[in-house]
Amino acid sequence: MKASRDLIAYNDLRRIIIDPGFCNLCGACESACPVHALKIENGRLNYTHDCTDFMEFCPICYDICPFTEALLLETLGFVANAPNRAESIGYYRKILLAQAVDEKLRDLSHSGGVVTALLMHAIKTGFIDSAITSEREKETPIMVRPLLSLVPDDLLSAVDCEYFSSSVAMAFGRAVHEYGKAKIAFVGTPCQVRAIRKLEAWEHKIMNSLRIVIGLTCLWSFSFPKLTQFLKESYGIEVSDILRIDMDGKYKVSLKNGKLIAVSIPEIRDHTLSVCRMCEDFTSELADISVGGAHPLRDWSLVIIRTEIGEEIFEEAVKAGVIRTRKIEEKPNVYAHFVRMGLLKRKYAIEEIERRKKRGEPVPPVSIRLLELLPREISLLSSLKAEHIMTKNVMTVTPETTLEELLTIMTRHHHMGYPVVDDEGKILGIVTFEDISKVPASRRGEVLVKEVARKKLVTAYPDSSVMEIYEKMSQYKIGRILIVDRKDHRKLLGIITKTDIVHMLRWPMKKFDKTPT
Amino acid sequence: MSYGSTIKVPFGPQHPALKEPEHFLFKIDGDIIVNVKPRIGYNHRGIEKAFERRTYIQNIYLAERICGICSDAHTTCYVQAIEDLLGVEAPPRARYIRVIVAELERIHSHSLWLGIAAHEIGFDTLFMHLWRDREAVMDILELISGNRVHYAMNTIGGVRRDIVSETIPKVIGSLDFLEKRTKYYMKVLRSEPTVLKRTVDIGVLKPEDAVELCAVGPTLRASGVKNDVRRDDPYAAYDEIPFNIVTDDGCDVFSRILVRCGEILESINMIRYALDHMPSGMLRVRVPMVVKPGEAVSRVEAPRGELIHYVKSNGSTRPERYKVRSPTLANIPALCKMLIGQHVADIPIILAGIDPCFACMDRLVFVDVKTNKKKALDFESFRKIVRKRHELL
Amino acid sequence: MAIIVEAIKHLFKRPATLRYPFEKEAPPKGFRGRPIWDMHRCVGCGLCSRMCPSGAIEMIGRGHEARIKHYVDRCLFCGQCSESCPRNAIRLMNDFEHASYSRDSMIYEYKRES
Repeated sequence: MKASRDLIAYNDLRRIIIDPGFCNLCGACESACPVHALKIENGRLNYTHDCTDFMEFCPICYDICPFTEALLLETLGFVANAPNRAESIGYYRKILLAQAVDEKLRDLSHSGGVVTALLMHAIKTGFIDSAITSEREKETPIMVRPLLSLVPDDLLSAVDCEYFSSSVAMAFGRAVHEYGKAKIAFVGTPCQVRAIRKLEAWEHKIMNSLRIVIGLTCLWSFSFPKLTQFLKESYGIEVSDILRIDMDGKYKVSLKNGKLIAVSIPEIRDHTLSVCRMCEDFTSELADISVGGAHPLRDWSLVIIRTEIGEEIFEEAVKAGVIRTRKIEEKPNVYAHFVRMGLLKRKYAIEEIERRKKRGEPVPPVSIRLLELLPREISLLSSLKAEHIMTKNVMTVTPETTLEELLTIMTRHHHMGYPVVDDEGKILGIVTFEDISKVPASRRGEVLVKEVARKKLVTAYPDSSVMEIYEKMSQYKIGRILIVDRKDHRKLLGIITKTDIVHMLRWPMKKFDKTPT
Repeated sequence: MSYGSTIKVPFGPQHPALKEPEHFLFKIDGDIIVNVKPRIGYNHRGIEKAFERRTYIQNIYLAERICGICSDAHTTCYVQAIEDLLGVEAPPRARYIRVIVAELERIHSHSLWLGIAAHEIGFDTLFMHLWRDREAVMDILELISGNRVHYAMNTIGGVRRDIVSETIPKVIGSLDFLEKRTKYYMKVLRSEPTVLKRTVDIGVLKPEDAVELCAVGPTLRASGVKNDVRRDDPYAAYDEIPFNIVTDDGCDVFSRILVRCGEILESINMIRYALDHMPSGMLRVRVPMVVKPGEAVSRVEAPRGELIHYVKSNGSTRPERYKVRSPTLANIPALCKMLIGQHVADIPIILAGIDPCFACMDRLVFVDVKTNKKKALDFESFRKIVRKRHELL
Repeated sequence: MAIIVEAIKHLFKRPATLRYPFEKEAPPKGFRGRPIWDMHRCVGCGLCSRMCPSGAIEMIGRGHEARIKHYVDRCLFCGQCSESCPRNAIRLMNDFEHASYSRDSMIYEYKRES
């Protein structure tokens, strides 16, 4: 990572993001550039004129690009006053299942039609005056382009599941500059949501018009040239034959002539955008509301509400009867699948980053930001002790709990790992979500926690500095660490997770006492 | 034509009633003007060169300041030329707002001119009343644009500010007031004997001469010729708003007064129509700040006549060449024609009759054909001559 | 003499002019007055200075150490600086009384308080 920044952000942007191929054409830089020097045209970002004619210093396009390291912790501030935090879900207030009451909307979408129903209701009541989503291009239906919806009926052509990225951040800028809209809803993938939040953290003036951000779940987007070439060479399909692509365990490519071709995930993964392979955000952790498919349920979506405004708009839609909900606890296997996708994405990301670092290939700065701390952050973490930030009332399980019961507990409390303690409260081991995933669903009713729990524990003492704990977690590649008594190593005093440390980096002065959910 | 035996009567360059200095050399025979030789350029500020040194956005404000009272016409002409070069079109709502501001400016300009004309005749009461009523339109423009002159409403790609629904009732109220007052003033002007004596059959310009000498604007229309850029080459939203072209067949200064009063009433109706039919939508289109090489010409109907701007760009952030042809320049030859055969004391009102935006009585030099003697009159003495003639009537 | 009636009517009315500076009328909302800078939001990019048509804005330094000098006697009050600023750090105030006896009062300086 470069120590000092160029005076003109575009030089850095081109060198670090565009030339290595990390641009996903979100268009945030085009919206933010004050001299209109950037324009997305023909599938590329064009530099239309030399911005140094007008300015000698400008940090904007580099700062707000979602793949740079700038402003990352500041973006957390938009969601971090939520009462709950969990691994692979992020900050949140509520998790539940929801679907649109109107069957037509459910048919139009891939799952519950929640986003469409929510936005249509919001426009109707005047909560927002326009919405930015994506719609299919008529000539090539698998490609999407941004859609600015001004009346509820415009939203019927919006799609909530896309496999290619569309330049929605650019459309946001157009809605503000040209249409003069002042209450805009933004729907996008995790990286696009991050771009919008960075714009908000930078306090760009177009962000006064943002009302709500809805994030979609995203595994990855495809690179149009790479994917079309792969489909042509391996399956003989032309792009113009394709009707739609669905994801259902495998990728199902539906052709216009009615045929269906299935492609497995490992096969297709090489043809994603390179930057998607290093992305750890599955659920749009910075959005106000995150919506994703509730596999294996066909008609329901899993909704994560993170902020107050997200809660407000969602509750209003439920009260008005356009959305109906169900508790997530009723469907633990849905929750398990959802979490597994997130962990899978993170696993792939970490592997890819390691691989690239070994080969000396470039990595987008955002992916390595949290692995490399700034000097002031190191000094902050060194000055804090584990007892300052650990959670004291730790949720534990007994060795005789079945894995099915454990999954129900996880679905209710949303933690990923639980220490296993005996009747006297002494630690026997730790059991995590990964351990459950290894056991097939049919046997989870019989297998007990004590059979799968890990007995080799990584622990720390209450007076260890947070910096040491952070380094330990990085070294052992674990997400949580148990804090034990110095005198009795089996006495559990507390637990610290990686998200606790990230939260501490954001609010260094606040001493928080996390109450269990 | 030799200036053998002539009396030269100079007219001071600082003429308070008109806006800018100009120099005329009159050859007079007793009290009748035999020939006129104008000299222009006293107000040359190097604006066309200044255009070349500034970027396209900075030039909007420079174009505005070419003239204080037709500032909106200049900016409209400029942004239209640049939009032509860029190949963008302003959105519909922006075009309607441009029409509204342009017509408000026309009302402002004509009311100001009527006051000046009244002042030149010596009819100061009417002058004061007209300028008091002009405040109504200036207040409206301040509400819409934030300033009483130099509205800066236009930008490349659209307009900068919106006309919000709260200001519309105030605009309509002022328009009703102005319409009532304008109709009253037309009645006064038609019936007032001093006005009729001073303006009827003064400064006659026959239609053939007007067309041959390329007169523009109300000067041309007062000779019965129906020429108007808004109808011949519609720009902004003029092709969607119905209006009449006001002409009069009198060909004298009185016709010019009537034509301008009629245009005020037409403008009021056009603004009412535009406010009723204003489409909603975008106010401006985002345009790049660097313009591709090319040339463009744009014309608008300023309050004084046809205004032409020409721009040539070479692909950089600044224009390469810019040319402005303002309407008063086109009216100067016609002015010279209409001055021949008139009395010296009628000079101010005839000069004011073309609404010179670029002329003001300079040090007029009178050349007496018979004796070839030059006589320089300062402003006060000249005014006395004018007043005396008015008292005679 | 139709105007005589009008003239006599106005003999008994209030004068149409305000006795400024004793009687003032406030400018309407949206009036383009003097711009002021909010230095907490200023990033020091220099766009306002480059876009100003009359060169009334000077930026000394760059980035967070930037200081802004605004020359009111050159200002056109056009509002282009406010429009160009990417962070809405410039607002136009409602005042128009800027006349003064000294040149120094025509220069306004803005800097970030540390």
